[in-house]
Amino acid sequence: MKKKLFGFCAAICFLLSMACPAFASAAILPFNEADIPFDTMVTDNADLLTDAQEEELSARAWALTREYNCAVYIVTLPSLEGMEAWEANEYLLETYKMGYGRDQSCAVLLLSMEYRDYDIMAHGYGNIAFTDYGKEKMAERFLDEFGDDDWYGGFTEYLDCCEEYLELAREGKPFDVGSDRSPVLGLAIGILIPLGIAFGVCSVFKAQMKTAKMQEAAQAYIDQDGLVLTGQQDRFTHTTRSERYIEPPKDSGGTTVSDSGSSHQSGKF
Amino acid sequence: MATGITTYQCPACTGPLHFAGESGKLECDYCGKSYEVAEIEKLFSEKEAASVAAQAKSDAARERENAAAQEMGMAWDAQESAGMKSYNCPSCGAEMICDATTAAASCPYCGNPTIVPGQFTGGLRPELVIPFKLDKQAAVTALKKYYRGKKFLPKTFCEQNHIEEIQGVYVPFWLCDCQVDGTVTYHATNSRTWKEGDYEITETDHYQVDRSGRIGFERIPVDASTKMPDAHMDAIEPYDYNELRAFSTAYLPGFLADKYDVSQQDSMARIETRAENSAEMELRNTVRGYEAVHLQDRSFRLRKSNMKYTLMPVWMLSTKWNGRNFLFAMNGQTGKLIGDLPVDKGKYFAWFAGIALPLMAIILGFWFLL
Repeated sequence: MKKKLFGFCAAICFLLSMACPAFASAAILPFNEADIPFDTMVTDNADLLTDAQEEELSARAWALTREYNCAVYIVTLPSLEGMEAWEANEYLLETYKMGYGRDQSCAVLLLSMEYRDYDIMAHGYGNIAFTDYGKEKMAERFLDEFGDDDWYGGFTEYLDCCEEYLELAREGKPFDVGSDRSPVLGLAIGILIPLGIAFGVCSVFKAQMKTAKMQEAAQAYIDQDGLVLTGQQDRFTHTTRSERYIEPPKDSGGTTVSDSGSSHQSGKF
Repeated sequence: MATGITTYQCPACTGPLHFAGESGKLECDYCGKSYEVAEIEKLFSEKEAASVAAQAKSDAARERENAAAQEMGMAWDAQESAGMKSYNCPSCGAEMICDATTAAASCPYCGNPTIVPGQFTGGLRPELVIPFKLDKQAAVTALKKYYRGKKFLPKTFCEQNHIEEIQGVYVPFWLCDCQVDGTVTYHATNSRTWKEGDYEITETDHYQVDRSGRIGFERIPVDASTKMPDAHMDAIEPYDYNELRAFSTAYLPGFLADKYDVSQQDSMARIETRAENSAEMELRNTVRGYEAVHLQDRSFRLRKSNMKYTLMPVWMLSTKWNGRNFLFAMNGQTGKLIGDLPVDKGKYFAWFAGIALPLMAIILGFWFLL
């Protein structure tokens, strides 16, 4: 299967190299840290983008790659040739030595049009910037556009996300579980809970200041015979049933990296 | 001269006697001798009878005087004289104007403890009394101790606070024996929960639980004086009934005492509420084996079997601070002291902010920085 895909990709690369000498040199030349090949940023083999769009997205991806030393790729394929999306992504990474630097730092968004599969792959430093939760949220952002066949809109969302995540990672706070907590909710919790606790504690202290209270019961005066039960009946009446959807457990954060050194978020669009 | 009130005088020196709670005896302020209650009671029974007769004569004479004064247009109007009585102190002869319910007091001129035996005759005579066990100093000490540990108590309240008045009072109570019969209906549930795929299923069994029962109460106390705040009198309960004694006026010298002005019938509503609530609690305690129990219906019938007129010992302490009166009550037998204290708003908000602000910093810091 891998041979098939390799053959397919090689054919595409050959065709591309004929049409675009720059891409060909990028694909065949070893990766050079000092010179990030511009035309490898967006590989639109499924032909979803116009030339202008491809140019614009490539420029943006290339700028991000230069800025953060982590390559940002977009790859579209007509078919996965029987592979899973994540397998195809790893195959391309390995085959074409994608990524920046020795650790091949990168983020790759791969779309396959045959069964509308996608895979986001992170490698090297990308595993730090693109956590599992980050990739999941990134997918949520572009899936609507891809679902509407708005390819350019979806890829723009992807690049926006990449820029946001890479910037956060550079600041030492990679986007992860809790990073997108609502500030309004935070303010509400951060203010209301302390106010509630303070009110509760102060109410206990205040209650100590007011001890003149009417008695509501007379437990202390029950005679020695106590309660004499004269009748008791427990009668079953009916049964009710209710169902509640169980929310999946929240991710505790971090990035799950496979043996190949990559991490993925896959699905359909 | 018989005057309607009487004092107990020391048989040895004729000095005034007062009841001392610690010793349980009547003690002479002057020569220091002490006497058993029964001993003094026997000695002064004739004097008390004469005092009762004199009071009747005095009341009749006062009515005649009032009638004459009214004819001359010099009488106190009905509102002024309502609820008041005048007596002559047997020691110094001064006229004392008291509430109509006053049964024991001190002469404001000579300070001698005086008793109005006429307030305790016939149906007005209490059956029982719990004598004072704790003295005035114990009440003062208890009040100071009560201030301790109160986080919101204004500092100046303790510093500037002087007890305006402290008075030992025998407060009239009704002690009610009664029985409550009743039926209570509860709605009870038991639930079980399990998972089916992505759903949590809960099945709840519902039951109707009925309980009927009978429960007896002995000596539920309810204060029978409109002068005494009910909340204060309720809050200093309970009393130790093992120290109930047959009533004798010999327990009263040195203390104030009132006769009751709330009838048995008027006291029943409070007794009913307390007894029925307790009966409901006891019946509720028999409902076991359910995860949730909710009251649906309750129906009770109270049968009063006996009510005893009793005097209970209470120390009343009053203080004034910033123009407001603060009243405290201490159980004269057990020493339990209660009363409402002022709240220092500054301290309240300092505590409030001291708790809320660090918590806010921690939670908001965690939320936005981590």
